[in-house]
Amino acid sequence: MEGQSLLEFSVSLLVIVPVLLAAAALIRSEWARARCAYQVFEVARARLNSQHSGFSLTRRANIAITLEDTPQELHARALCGNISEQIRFQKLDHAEF
Amino acid sequence: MRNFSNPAGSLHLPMLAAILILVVSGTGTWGLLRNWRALVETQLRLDRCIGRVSLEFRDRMNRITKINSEITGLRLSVAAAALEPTLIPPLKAALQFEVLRQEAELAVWKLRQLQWVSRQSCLRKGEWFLPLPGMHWTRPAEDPLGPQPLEWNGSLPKQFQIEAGHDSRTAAALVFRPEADPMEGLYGKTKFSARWAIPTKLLARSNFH
Repeated sequence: MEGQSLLEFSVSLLVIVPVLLAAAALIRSEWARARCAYQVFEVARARLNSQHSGFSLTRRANIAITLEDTPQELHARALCGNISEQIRFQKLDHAEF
Repeated sequence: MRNFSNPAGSLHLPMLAAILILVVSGTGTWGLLRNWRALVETQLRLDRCIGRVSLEFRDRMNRITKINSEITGLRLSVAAAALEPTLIPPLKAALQFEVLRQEAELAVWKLRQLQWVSRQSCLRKGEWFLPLPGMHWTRPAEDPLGPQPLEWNGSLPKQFQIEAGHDSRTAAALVFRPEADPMEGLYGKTKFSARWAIPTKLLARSNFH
């Protein structure tokens, strides 16, 4: 009977551990994706608001975000691990609602 | 009482623990993602609202100043038509038409202000806002040449702030007069533009400036 329990426990671990690891990896990647998207959005929007002022953005994100500023729009890009996020904001005078 | 040393069902306990871990972490992540998505949706809705209202204010101010220069031009034409009096009635009719257009602009903006305060525009219940800027234009009394262009009470401000928010999310825009371009003449000096701005609420609680 003792051997049977151990066998069942080992078999269940063999199934559960990979499932848990896969789920953890999935959740972690979703978390990273959402966090990256949110930070790019926040930084780009703050930059859009703070044009012509000394508003500091550096403390807002701990990822490297590339900002391209043209008279028509602001383009923000970031690479978070293997996840790439980009967002475009139109300047108000060029925006369509 | 159940005997936990019974080997039957030993598979179920780790499975249950694993399912519990998955459900808790999955629900937590889902809740957080949902919250972030809601924040972004609220922000975009506020941005759209403020953007639309700001552009409308900019366009109305620009139209009023443009009509002002047209009224000035028509009044000059009326003065010049003293040599050819048959031209005066159509010129005065055109002048009246321009005046009506300006009055319509002012009336519609007053309506927008009322809708804004009563949250009948794009704001929702419980959202805070700055009152929409007033259009403090007045028309001097008519003289022999006809109605006069509108004049701003006092000096025309260089910028107007339009702002609203929902909890921690805010959107703000400035309708402003850029530095005058001498090549654009009188109209260029009063042409308004719009840009996104730092909300006053943020400015008040920070030392960004």
